[in-house]
Amino acid sequence: MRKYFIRRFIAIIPMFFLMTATYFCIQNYLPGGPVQETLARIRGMGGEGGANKSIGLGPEDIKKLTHELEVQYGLDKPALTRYFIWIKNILTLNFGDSITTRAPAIDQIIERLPISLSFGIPGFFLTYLISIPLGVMMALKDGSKFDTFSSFILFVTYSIPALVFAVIFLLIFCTDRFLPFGALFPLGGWRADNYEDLTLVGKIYDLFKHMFLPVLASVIGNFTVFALLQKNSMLEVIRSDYIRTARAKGLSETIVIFKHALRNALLPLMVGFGSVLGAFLGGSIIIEPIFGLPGIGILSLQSLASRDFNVVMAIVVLQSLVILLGQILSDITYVLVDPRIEYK
Amino acid sequence: MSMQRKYIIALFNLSLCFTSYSLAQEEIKYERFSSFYDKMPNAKKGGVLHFQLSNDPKVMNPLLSDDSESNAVEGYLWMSLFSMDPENLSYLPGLATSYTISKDKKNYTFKLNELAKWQDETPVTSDDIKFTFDTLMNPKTHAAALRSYYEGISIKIIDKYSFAFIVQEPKFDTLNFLASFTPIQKKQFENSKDFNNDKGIMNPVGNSAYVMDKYLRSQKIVFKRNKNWWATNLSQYKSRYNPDEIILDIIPDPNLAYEKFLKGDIDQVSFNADQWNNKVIGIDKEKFGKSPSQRNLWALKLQNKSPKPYSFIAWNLKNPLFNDIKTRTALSHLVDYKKIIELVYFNLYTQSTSPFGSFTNNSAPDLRNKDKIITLDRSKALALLKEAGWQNDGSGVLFKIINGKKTPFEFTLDTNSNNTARMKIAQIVKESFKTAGIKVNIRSTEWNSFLDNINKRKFDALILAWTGSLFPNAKQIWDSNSEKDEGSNFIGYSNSKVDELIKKANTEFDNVKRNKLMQEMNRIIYAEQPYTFIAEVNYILEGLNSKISSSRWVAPYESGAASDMFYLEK
Repeated sequence: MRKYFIRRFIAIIPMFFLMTATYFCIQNYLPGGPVQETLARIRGMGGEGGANKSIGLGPEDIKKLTHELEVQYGLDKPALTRYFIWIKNILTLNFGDSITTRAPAIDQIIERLPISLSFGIPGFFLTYLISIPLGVMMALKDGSKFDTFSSFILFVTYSIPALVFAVIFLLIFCTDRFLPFGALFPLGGWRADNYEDLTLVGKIYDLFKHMFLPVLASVIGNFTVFALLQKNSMLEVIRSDYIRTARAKGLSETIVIFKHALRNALLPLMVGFGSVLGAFLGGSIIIEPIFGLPGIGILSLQSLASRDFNVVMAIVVLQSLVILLGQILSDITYVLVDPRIEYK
Repeated sequence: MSMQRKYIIALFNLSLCFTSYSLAQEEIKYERFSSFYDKMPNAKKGGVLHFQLSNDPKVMNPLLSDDSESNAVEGYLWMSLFSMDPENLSYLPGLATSYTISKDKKNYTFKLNELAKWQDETPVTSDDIKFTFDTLMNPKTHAAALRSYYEGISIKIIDKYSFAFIVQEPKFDTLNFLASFTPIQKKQFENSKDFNNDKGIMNPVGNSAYVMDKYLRSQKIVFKRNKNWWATNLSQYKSRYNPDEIILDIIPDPNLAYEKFLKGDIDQVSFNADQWNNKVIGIDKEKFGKSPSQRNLWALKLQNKSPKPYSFIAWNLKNPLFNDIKTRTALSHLVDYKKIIELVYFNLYTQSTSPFGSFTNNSAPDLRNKDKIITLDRSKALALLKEAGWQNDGSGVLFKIINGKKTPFEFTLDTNSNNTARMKIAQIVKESFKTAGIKVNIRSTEWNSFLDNINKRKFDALILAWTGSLFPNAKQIWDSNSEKDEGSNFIGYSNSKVDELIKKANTEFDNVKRNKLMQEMNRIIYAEQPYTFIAEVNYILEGLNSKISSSRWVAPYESGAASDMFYLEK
């Protein structure tokens, strides 16, 4: 078993390089980039903003500007050279600077990680805490009114994207548009303006107020699939021979369900554990922009759009590691859930 | 942010002082004109205002910024040598009190105000100016864009408070960007080993009305009024920059910003045509008054002379489909301008006839006459297409023999996918062209890919906009030479007469004469239709919280409500 996990940990290294190299290639072969975007802004292309700064930039000026910007953004070297420089740098935990904010890329992630984790971690646990019992109950009461009603609710929540729920929650509970007594929650943002002046209890309450709806929206967007998966898995298990045998032996229903059936029924949910963990820890590109939460999700979106190479790659490194480690965690939970599983 | 607007306007627009800045071979001395600011009533100091910033500023340093967010921040912290009066475009003293221009217009001597101080109470001197200039011109400094304005210029220190810029090739706008020179403090950076990454870049030491108190990345920037600001009692500043605290809330999503404005979390918001039509006078009309006295929120809608962006269809003149004037004119006659202005811009835009701002002195007013303005005229378009050699074989798509080959009139119209207005225009154009036997395929790509196609000239036609400029320099877009490499003349427009006019206009210091040259250029370009000029913004549209008072909401040359004049009564 120990050897297996050592092997798995070692396997992370080539996987990690493969993932980052893939992203590096994609990034490099995407058309456009920060140089062109900056040049377009300087030229007044697009029509946004006020009076433009054009001083009649001729092609010589553009050429010179292009070269200077390439040097500034570190894009003046061949792609392969840049990849090796990047690899060399990340070995010393230097992820380079963001093109758009000039701050170290890793600092930006560290700054934003708590924001994404504030709704990612509760969302992750709540998703499992709701979907597992609900799935089990639906399986046990298969065909009952409860099952029909739950299935209908799940069907609705599955059909409506999290994005729509987020917007509805925001409009109903955060604005004065619908509720006669006004908004229940703050309209977006992560913290109140006076957060630093609050007591510890006040800070916790403020965080709760800001995070309640984003967590709810992300849970609704995720628990449906898990609940149905859990229900189907549980149904399959409770109809199997060994459960029938357990009942025939006179074991109580509680022991049959929770000791014998549930553990096996949990296995399918553990398969995607690593990826799910990565998805939750990596912020949400849907929820964050709607609630104005400046987390990893928004950062990913903005960095991809502006081809902010160093930040995108730093996020890729983080996500890759979380997913790879999450898969190992998945394997460990397999063993915990089903002791018969043995890795060799 | 109006301070930013003033900064930009001051940077890139010419002053009416140019009327005195003529060809007369004599030294020109700065003359201070009376300003609205000198006479405005006293405003109450105090209170807090919240504004929206759509993104984090890249830097807090006037040398390194090339984004609007950084410019917005600069406006609170730094002063330039002169600012520009947005009412009459005369220069107002900033850090400097006067300038003198030599007869040959190659020597610009400035005198600093001896009272001018940095926020740490040290004086602003010629040393700061020279240090800033040397840092800017250092090729290692990441200030490529700003540096291009100062190429061919050197600096000479005269004494502690006087210095001169020596200009090799003076142009019509030289005084403009010299007057808007914004120094940084030498003391803060003189020992810096790497200016681009110095900690001071995000810890500004300014000399203006506010000091930065706090910056929480992606959340907010807090500015506190500089109670010891050296310029507080100058007549042009005494009743401006009134709130004790200004908080810039960083809200990237415009819809969230709008909702926060409705709720009172932010105090000012700009509207696009779509928001104005659907929300301000649509679903939320009950929430808005037409003046601050009516409701808690009010919507400002007015016209002024500030430079406005204009949208257009650009025809790739290297494509044989579009290298003929008659064909291009026909295509322009097939565009339903009224429908676009009504359905896409909700009558908040007006048809454009010029690349230089259709209603400015740079544009020919006669082009707006009924007999000259190009309007939707299908029969005229069909006649022109026939004259240009396009034939109809009954297939539904016109054809022409080009280089011995039967070529159908079919092309791709590009635009960027995140701009719904341009997408709608593309649809309207497609439908209209179809009726004349022209097949249009719409291709929308994300902004970066779209730019890449433009720079590599991989397009047939595209819909885009150029930002407006009060005193534009036509060289960038219309000079034949600007077609090369990745120049802004991406359509390959070439006209020797226009090239000549550009040269003349750029060295013409007399404003009236320069306007005439620009108008002549406008007539030539409009006659050749290398672009189909579609529409330009007609109104300033803003939402304001009624708790804000102001002596003047918008000046003639401001592009929005002037936040530097806001104050709170209570």
